[in-house]
Order: sequence, then structure tokens, then C-alpha cells
Amino acid sequence: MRTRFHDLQHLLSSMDALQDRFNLLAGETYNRLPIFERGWGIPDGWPKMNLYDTGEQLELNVELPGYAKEDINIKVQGNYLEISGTRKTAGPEGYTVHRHERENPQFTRSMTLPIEVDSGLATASIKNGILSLILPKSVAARPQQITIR
Amino acid sequence: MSQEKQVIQKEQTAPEKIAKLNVLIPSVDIYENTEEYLLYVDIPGVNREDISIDLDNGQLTLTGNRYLEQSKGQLMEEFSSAQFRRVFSVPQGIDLAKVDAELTDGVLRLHLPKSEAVKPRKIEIREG
Repeated sequence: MRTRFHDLQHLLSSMDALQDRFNLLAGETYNRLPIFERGWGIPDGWPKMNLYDTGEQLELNVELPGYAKEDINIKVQGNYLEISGTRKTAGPEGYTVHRHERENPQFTRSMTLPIEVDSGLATASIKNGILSLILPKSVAARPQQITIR
Repeated sequence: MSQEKQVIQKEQTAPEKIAKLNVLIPSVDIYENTEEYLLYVDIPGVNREDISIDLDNGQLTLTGNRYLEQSKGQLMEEFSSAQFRRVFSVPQGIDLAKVDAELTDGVLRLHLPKSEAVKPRKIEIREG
């Protein structure tokens, strides 16, 4: 039994060597290959998001090209966040369509935030197709300075 | 793992390190009517001054650089600074002087008007 196990390990180690080779290849070329933005979002068609924790507040950035501020709905409740929107994808009238890649006329993305936020103080702005959302943490979740008596 | 480290070192010492930004291919809509070609390009986060549109030898090169501030305390990061780049072959008969572009809400609209020579023309028949 022990010898057989050894055989298996031997086999796997050669697999590992192969894997290393592939990693080497991928590492070299990965940054140089262009990435096709399929439907501008992540594969399911949701907009991409960045979330930062700056201590006092959470900052959320969302890629939303072609959405005006009235096209977007944001709901915050406790630590639940939902962003939805609709954009016009229909092209200008009287034109023949040669290529139509900008799809996803509507989306909904919801998530549970890691920290409870104060929805009353939340602010949002949109610039160049990037929505930035500032969500101040609720008082209980904010870092507290404790003075030593 | 040791091999991977080697690659990283090599990249740092390589003298011809030009492209720092990841290159993304933006989604594009192309429309045409009798007057012009019209392109819609999704480039979220790109400022107007970071876009370059070059028309050379029948090739239209569109580049837009997006620079995002590096914030601390990231919990989730699905997009970052990048370069949007796409090259198109443009048919002949574009009036270069009238090419026009506008950027709204992260979408670039590029108008490529056709020159008078290729526009459809109705020929009137005179009485002989």
C-alpha cells in the first residue's frame, strides 16, 4: 500500500511540474493580453463594483456607462444594498445597425455590506459613467477611541 | 512558485516596459445612415482629456486611459485603472475634417461623416 501511495505522489509531482510550466506561461502573458469586456460587466452582466472601507465610511464605486443619474435606483437598509438601473440601448433612429455589443439594458445587483451603514447620511454622485456612493457607518459600527483614565 | 518569482523579477528589470495599464476592449455599437457612421463606445471612468482618437491610413485607433485613485482598505475590487483600446478599419470616403466626438456618462459617441462623393445622390432627368 505504501509503495502504491508513493507511486501516486510521484505522478502528482510531475503534474505539479506541468502546472508550474503553465503558470509561468500565464504569468508572462497575462498582463499583455487584452480582456474583452463582455457586456461591460462581470460575466453575469452585473456592473463591476469596488468597495473600500475608510474607517468612518464605506466607499462604493460602480461602473455604469450610459446611465444618467435618473436611470439609477439605490436602496440601502441596514447592511443591505441594492442598485438597479435601466438604460436606453436602442440606437438612434434611422440608422442601420452594424454591430451591437452594448447590451444589458437593465440590471439589479444587491449585496450584504460587511458593516451596518447609516442610510440617512448616504450620498451618491456619478461622473463619467462611474457611480460613487459614500455610506457612513452607523454609530455602533464606527471605530471608537477609548481614553485611559 | 520559485519560477513565478523569477518572472516577476525579469519584468522589473526589462528596459522596454511600456504598457503599464491593463488593456481592455470596450463594447462598441456601430450604426450607419446615408450621412455618417456613428460609434457608441462604453468607456466608464475615462476623462475627456485621456481619450485619443487617431485616424491613419484607414485605421481608426481609439484609446482611453482610466486612472483610478488607489484607496486604502479595499474590501472588493472588480475594476481598476486600465486602458481601453480598439482599432477599426474605416472605409474610404470619410470626411476627416468633420469627424466629431462627444463624451456623456462614460459613453463616447463618434460621428464619422461620409464625404460628398460617397453619399447617395439622386440624378434628375432633364427633358431632352
